[in-house]
Amino acid sequence: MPKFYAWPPARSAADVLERGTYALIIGSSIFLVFTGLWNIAYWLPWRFGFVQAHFYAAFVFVGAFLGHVAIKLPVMRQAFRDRGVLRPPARGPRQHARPEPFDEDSSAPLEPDAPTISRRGLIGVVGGASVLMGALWAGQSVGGWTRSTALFAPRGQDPEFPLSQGFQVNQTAEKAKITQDLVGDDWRLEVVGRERLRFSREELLAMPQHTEDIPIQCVEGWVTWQTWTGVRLRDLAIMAGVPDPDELEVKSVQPAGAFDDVVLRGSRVTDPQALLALKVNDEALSLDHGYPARIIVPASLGVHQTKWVGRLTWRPA
Amino acid sequence: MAMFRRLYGRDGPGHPVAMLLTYAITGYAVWAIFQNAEPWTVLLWLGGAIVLHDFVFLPLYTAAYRLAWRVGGVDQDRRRRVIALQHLAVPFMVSLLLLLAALPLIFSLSPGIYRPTTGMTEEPYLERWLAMTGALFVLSGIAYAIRVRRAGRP
Repeated sequence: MPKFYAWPPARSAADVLERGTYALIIGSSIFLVFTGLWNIAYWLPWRFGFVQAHFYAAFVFVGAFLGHVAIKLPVMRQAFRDRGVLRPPARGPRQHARPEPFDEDSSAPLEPDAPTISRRGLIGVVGGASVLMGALWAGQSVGGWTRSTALFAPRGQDPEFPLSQGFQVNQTAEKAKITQDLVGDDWRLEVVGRERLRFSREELLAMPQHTEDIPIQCVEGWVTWQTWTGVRLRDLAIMAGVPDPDELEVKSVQPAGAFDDVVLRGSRVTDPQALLALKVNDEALSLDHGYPARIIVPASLGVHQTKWVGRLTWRPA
Repeated sequence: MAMFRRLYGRDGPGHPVAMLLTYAITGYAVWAIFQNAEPWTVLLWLGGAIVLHDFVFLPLYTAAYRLAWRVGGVDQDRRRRVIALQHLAVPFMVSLLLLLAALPLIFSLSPGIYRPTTGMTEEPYLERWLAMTGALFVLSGIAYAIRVRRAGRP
């Protein structure tokens, strides 16, 4: 029986307050872990905005946890003083272990059962389970051959549906309702500044090309590093007559889906690594990865690496 | 001071000050969550997590454990039964952990969003989970057999 259910539940105002913080720690930690994992698997069995709720639930957890540590500092200090810092509380085999005597301020259980697992065994099981979880999820971000070990990650791989160009797609062309008419030979990139220019994909490919290794970093917890080739955004700003831009509005031709209109600011767009990418890993972008052209800028979020770009609007400082 | 202790239950100002700060931060955060959601849906989740764990899962696994302990009658070798139980409990726990963490994928709970977003299907996940669960129990069984054999040797 966990100590949480000691009866009577509270003997003083201080106890009531302390137990309230336990409820906050337990509730918020389970909430954070599972809504987070289920959200990235696109199952949303709740009726509130996930992002705000998750963000503020983290404050609930951290606040309640810090408060808990603060009020338990005297208990911790006493325990370390009595028993030493690294000295194990019990020695010898498990079957000789005796339960810790019940004490108001310790976490010793009320009615302990006979011991079944040693402390080392418990730490081994929890640690081993954590390592296994890490190993079964990490491949989606490490990429390469490890992608086949990401057996439970939402962005691993499905042998029957190979990933376009070998790395994950956050939003397929189908979901964004991209059709051949929108991105075929008639597609033109419109660049607006002091001038208003239009370029075909061939004209963009004829400009000076630059190649950069830049990650797509998704808020859903994965990263994928690829090698992108295309035109520097800075060069397009100069052509549009805005050599010292403050912000860039990127408009996608996508008729559906979020983030079709994004504003990037400051060094994100003036950095020499910031590209309008036309190729990835020396191949033309696939439709799912944003053909004919997508934004690839360093130190940005995946959702701001706009695909199927139709118009760039430069605004001077 | 004695009166403060009688009324509040702790000595000194440290405890109430820490509690005040804790509730100020967490109270603000809970209020902020309520601004963007119907409060009951959030309470259902925050409270539901506690209720589900403490009043459903905890009694369930306590009962399962006690039952597993009794099955097979009274055995004089308590140590061997503890080890056997561990070799069942560990793969069970890891399998349940994977099930909870990848629940929507394993049971294909969101095919309408998952497929068009990622370009893949959720189909492989159930098979993978079943295979992983089987592998965990088999490995644990092999480890148990080795342990028992070693212990049995003079």
